[in-house]
Amino acid sequence: MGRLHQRRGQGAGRGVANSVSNEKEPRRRRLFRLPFGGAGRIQDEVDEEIRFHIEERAARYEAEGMSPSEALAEAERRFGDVDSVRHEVEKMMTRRRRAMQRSDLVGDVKRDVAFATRQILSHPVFSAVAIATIALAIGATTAIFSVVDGVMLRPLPYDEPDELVMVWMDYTERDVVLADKAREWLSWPNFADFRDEISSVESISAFTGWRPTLTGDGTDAQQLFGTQFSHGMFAEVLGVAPAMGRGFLPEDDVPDGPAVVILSDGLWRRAFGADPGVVNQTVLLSDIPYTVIGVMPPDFQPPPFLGTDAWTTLQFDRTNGGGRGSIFLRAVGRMQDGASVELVRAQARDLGARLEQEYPVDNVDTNFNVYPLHDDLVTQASTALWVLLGAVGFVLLIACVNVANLLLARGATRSSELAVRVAMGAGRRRIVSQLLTESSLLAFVGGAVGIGLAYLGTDVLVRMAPAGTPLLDQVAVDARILGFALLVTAITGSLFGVIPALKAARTDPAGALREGGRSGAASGSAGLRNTLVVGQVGLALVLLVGAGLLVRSFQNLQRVDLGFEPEGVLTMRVALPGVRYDDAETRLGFFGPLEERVGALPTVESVGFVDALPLAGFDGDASFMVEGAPPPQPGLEPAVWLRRSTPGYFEAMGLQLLAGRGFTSSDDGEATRVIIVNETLQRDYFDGQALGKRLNVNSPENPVWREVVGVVRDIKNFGVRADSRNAMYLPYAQAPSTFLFAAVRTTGDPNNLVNPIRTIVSELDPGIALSGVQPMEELVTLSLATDRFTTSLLGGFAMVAMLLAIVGLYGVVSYTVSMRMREMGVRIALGAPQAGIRMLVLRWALALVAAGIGLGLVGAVGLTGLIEGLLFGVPTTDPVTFASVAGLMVGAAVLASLIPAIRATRVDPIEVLKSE
Amino acid sequence: MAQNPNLVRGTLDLLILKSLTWEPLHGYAVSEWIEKVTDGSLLMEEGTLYPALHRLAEKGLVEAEWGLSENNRRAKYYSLTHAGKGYLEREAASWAAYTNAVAKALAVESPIP
Repeated sequence: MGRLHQRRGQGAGRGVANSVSNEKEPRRRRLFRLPFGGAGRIQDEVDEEIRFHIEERAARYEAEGMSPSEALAEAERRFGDVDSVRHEVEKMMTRRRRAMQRSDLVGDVKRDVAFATRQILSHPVFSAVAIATIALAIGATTAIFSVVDGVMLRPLPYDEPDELVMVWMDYTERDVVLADKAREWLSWPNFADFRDEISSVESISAFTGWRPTLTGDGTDAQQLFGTQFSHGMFAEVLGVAPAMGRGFLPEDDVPDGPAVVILSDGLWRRAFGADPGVVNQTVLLSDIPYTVIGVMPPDFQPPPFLGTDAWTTLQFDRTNGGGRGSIFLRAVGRMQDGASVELVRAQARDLGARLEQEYPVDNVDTNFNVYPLHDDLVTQASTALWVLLGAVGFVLLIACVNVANLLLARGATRSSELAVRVAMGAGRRRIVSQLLTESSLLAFVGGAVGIGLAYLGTDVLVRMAPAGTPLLDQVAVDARILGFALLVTAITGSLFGVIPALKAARTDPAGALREGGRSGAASGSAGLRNTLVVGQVGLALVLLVGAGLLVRSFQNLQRVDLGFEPEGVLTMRVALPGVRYDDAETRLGFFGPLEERVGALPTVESVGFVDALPLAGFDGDASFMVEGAPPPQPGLEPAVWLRRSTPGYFEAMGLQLLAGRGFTSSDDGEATRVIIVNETLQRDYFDGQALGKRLNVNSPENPVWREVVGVVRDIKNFGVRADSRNAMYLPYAQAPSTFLFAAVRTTGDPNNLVNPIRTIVSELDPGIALSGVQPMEELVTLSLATDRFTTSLLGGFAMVAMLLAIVGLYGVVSYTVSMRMREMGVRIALGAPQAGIRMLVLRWALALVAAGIGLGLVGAVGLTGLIEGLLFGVPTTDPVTFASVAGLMVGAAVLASLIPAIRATRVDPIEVLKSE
Repeated sequence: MAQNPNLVRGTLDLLILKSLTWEPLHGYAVSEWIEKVTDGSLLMEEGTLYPALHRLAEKGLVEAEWGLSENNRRAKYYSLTHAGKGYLEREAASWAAYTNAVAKALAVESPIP
């Protein structure tokens, strides 16, 4: 308190008035420093001083015998020019007072900060709790925001990224086996028509995945990830150029053009030791010699669909790009300046409709779809990320409420201090600014710690993020993010600071002091604090419901019957260079011995190969027709997920045979054409009896009838969430391709087989690279990565939210109990049973929680619709989740209020009443 | 702002500071003190006292505070600050040295002593 008498405030004038009337001793008096005031008060002061002088002088002359009027006139004459003196003095005082006000403002801020620092240091537990709460909330919010910002808000790292569009075929009208019917790939003729006719797209490039094997002198064969694209991808569409060498020229992209390749900076460093001489050298890619024409700069971030290592030309024109029904291309284009996506889409839909008329077989029920490239890339990630950002915002809000409640509680215990200060003349504005300084200081210390946490958190998030999340390399904690954190901190500080400060400023000094420092002013702030706790519980409940729904949905996903047994299976991709393995004989000559030798390894139970693994995503489809059934309308043949597999595959993958037989080594190119179908296809096309029937795959004009020899279970070929669709398996020996995935079932740890298998492959052919080596279980885990990411984060946020809300509730209940000690003492003295006291407190706490839960349930019903797309097998209003979350909250609330409730029963009535 | 032409610049400040040596005074009391000790010979217009007082306050040599006069009227009292005391001592010393030197010079009777 010692420092308070130094404070200058508007109230000081009142102090002077008091002392004027009370002070009796002449000349030895308590003097007050000049109070502040407006210009009007300066004039009054100067007037008063001059008048005093003249009147004292006149009084003396009167005492010497002059008449009153003579005395006054003489006094005025002696004084001189009153107006000019007054004017000069006023000017000086005004100047001086302005300077003082300025330095006082600086002084006030300094004093406020010093005082706040002392307050914070002298309540270490309170401050630590508040700062930790703020730091956690700001850290989490900033970390999530940095991911949202990097993935969704930052523009793509290319010139005028808003002009980039992705072009797809729209197959939503068709019955096909596709992962996303709105985003189907293009055939070359459809692409070429789009390129030539859509005027609002300035340049467009079609591309297809390219996974060549790089072989060089003495080094291990490497599987590369890249694309082949039609002319224009780099310079025209993306607006990028190689750092060394040259870009692709139109003459590189013609049928039978030169084999040229551009390398990424990463590959150039990794495989060529950053040798600048690599340009114009020849490298072997899948045994084909390519000339390196350029190396991309290190800061080139190819969009995810372009791969990371090497790029070459597609070399198609109208003569060699395949038929209109052969869809294997995607396309990315750049719109003309000023063109809108809507315009492009409209032009494309017109063209699509025309092509459908011109090519009624291949293009029936199809059209083009056009999306902005950025939207297209992040479409998968966006719902989850926005939901997470919203959730972390809730956590931040709850944290603010908690700190506000802490401050309110402390404000109540400090009310006598504040009352003394108000009584001493501290202005309301000064009190508010003092308290706001304190809360801002807390917020900024919390914010600083939070930014540190955000650095770590962002790192963890990026590492945790599901593998497919696009644009993660753009995520960084930089000035932009720091600005966001600063903004959040400022908002946070004012959110939790303003209400307690205003509350405190309304302190009635008389009332507070009369209560003798027994922390009065409680009733009003208690109502406010109850409201805050109700809101907190409500917010936490909404998060808990969201998290609960996601957890239940995730459980459902994990319980989904995949149709095969992933445990103990190692998978990998084996690609043969088509140049050397150019016929069935050579391909079988490689895979046959490989299967045999891997099968002979210890712990290996079975080995098989297939050309696409379950869950691995879409990999092309085929059409078929059943022998004897009415021929389907041309172009609308039913679609099927068609795979080739070796005889051991079904056993190795644990894919159960329901009827008939599996493939054997005698199902070779010479034997009868056979096929195995899945349950769905048998049910839908063979009335449940497929064995012995025949069907044809593709080319309806020249059917090759294949006999169904077996029926296998459905598997989740398009991911865990998708329904099973038609599937067929051909014996690999009757349709050999250049690459296959191996599935090796072992009794031991699948990872132990990696090296022995590598050795066998390189002994068979050192020029062959393995890629995608991973246990099948990992593939299953990966396919749920996004769900796991969202569920665990939202679950974490919800738990933190509940914890904060419960801590808030505990604080309010125990504070109220301590405020009502006297009442409890009286009740006990009057013979109230302990159980009754406990119930009193519990009932009161539960009333708050019930209000919060009610509010939260209403909010949840309104908000869970936002996560509908993330849920699997759970309705957004799942009563089980709602009920159990409410129950959880009630349970936690009871636990939190039990401690203060028990304390209330321990009140010693004599002690309490004596202390009055 | 007519002043006694004999009043050397800075002298009034010095007199004001001197008047406050013993206790805080209001402006009128300061004028009375000066009148008394100088036989009314220096301060012709009392009003000039106030700009001087406020100038001294601005320099931090005096401090102004409201208080009560002998007959219980509100009056502004001026007191010497620590800086004001030091200033007065230094100025008084140099004033004495100055007047001494001038007096010595004026007392000389032969052309070259």
